[in-house]
Amino acid sequence: MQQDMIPPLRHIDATSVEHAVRLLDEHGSDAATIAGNTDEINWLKNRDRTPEVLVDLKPIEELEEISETSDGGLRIGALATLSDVEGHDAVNDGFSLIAEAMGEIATPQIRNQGTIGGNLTQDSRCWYYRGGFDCYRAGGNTCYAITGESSDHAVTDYSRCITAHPSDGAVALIALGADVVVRGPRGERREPLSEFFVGPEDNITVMHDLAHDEILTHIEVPSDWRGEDFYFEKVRGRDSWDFAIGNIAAAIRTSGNTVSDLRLVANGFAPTPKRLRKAENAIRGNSLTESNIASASENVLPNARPQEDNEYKLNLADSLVNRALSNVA
Amino acid sequence: MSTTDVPDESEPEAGDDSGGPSRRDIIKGTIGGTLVAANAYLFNNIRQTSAQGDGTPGVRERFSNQLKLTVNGRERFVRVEDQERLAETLRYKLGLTGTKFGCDRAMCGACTVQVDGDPIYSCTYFTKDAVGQEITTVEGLAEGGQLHPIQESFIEELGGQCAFCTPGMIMSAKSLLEENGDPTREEVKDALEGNLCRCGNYENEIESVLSAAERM
Repeated sequence: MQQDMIPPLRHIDATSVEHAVRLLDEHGSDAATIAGNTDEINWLKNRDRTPEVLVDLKPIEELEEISETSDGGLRIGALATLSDVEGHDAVNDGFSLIAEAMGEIATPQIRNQGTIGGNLTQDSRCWYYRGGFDCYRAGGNTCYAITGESSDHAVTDYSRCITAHPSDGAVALIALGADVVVRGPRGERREPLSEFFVGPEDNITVMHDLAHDEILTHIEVPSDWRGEDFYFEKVRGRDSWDFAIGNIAAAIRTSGNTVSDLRLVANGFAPTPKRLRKAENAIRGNSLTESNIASASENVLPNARPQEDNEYKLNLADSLVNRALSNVA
Repeated sequence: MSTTDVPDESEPEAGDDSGGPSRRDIIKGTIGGTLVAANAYLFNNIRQTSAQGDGTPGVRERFSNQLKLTVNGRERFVRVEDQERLAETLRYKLGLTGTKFGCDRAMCGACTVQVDGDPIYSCTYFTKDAVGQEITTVEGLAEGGQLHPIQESFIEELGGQCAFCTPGMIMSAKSLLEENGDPTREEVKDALEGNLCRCGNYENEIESVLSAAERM
């Protein structure tokens, strides 16, 4: 069988975050960052990306650690593999939502290699964009999915590009109110994970706000939702592994049968992870009766403008909310 | 000439991370280089000059541009490009063709091997990253001419139809059974989810793993 060899390049092991940042500065757009390298490598095989230098973050051991913080939260190094996160005691003790999401990502092989940082910073799965089409996201001036096949694409919040965000980890972490810590040439910054993602309205060529020479170093989960009721579901096109058509992560705090607070976050519906605020507001302060759940899970994406191919996603989103709430009731 | 020409001092010094080789290293390397030129086979007798354990390159690797890989319990020295993937090295340089290229896109699992006991897709894994770790391929399963129980089961239960996916299936199954000796049918399905079979022979593959669990 004819195989695609990757064109020659230099693979440099970064010894520290500072070293990585320096290398990225030095080589500019000739360099690409890799860590678990389950996706970037496939762009290289396709020769859709041809960096001269790969800056490998993997040797930076400080970014692999997962630990409980002094206030009962979690600090997860961006280089922790998906299987490490899934199996870690500190994660399973009170934050099982994260472990559940991790277990649904890809395959055992990819979970052993891929990192949680990579899951959050992954690129669009749009088959036109990945197929080398000259679309908006690739710098062109059309969206091939709108005129072509869009069954996996976004139904809401899009602008020209209708890619859907694919991450399973992101929804669980946003539901728990996680922050990301980023280091770059100007030092360290931190922001809520929910603001880390960038939609096509703001910048159509990226999925997140990491600059080329910035490194996502940690994910910090506060203790706020520790031990509450959680629900995670991922819907895919087949029983075996696949990216999500749609997924939902729910963190729900109840007193008695009344919902005192909750967060519902879904992916696969918009270019960035989507907080389902309409449904949240409808059920917050109310009891989890069948009729309350039914009305809260009606038309949860009020501003949706689906394509003919993906109208089914509206019902899917409603059903996911219904199942998340019913599961806790 | 014997190995005593290169005495123990050729051991790489711990903590020497100055980057370039020291004068001492160069002298050692020169001795090593002469040995290769004169008697290439002697190189095999100076193992102590190569990397030990932690993956830091030793003198042998630095002067021959080779990496030391541990494949199926044996040390293999091989020259590797930066962009080279483990499946390429195993198949084209080490002759271990049991590991298959299927999709070459981390989707089908035909290239599954174990690195330190965990299954990974070797088509999507740089060979450099495997330095210092234990690589196990399907060739490493049989012992003394005796097939591994999982291999036996795949034969008995007709786990292989065209069998192109079988080596990968077996490696995923091995990783599962090492962690869980008595898996349920569901657990077997989960463990094999990263291995696709175009013959659609999944039932027999699952049965093979379940029956292997009983044999082990």
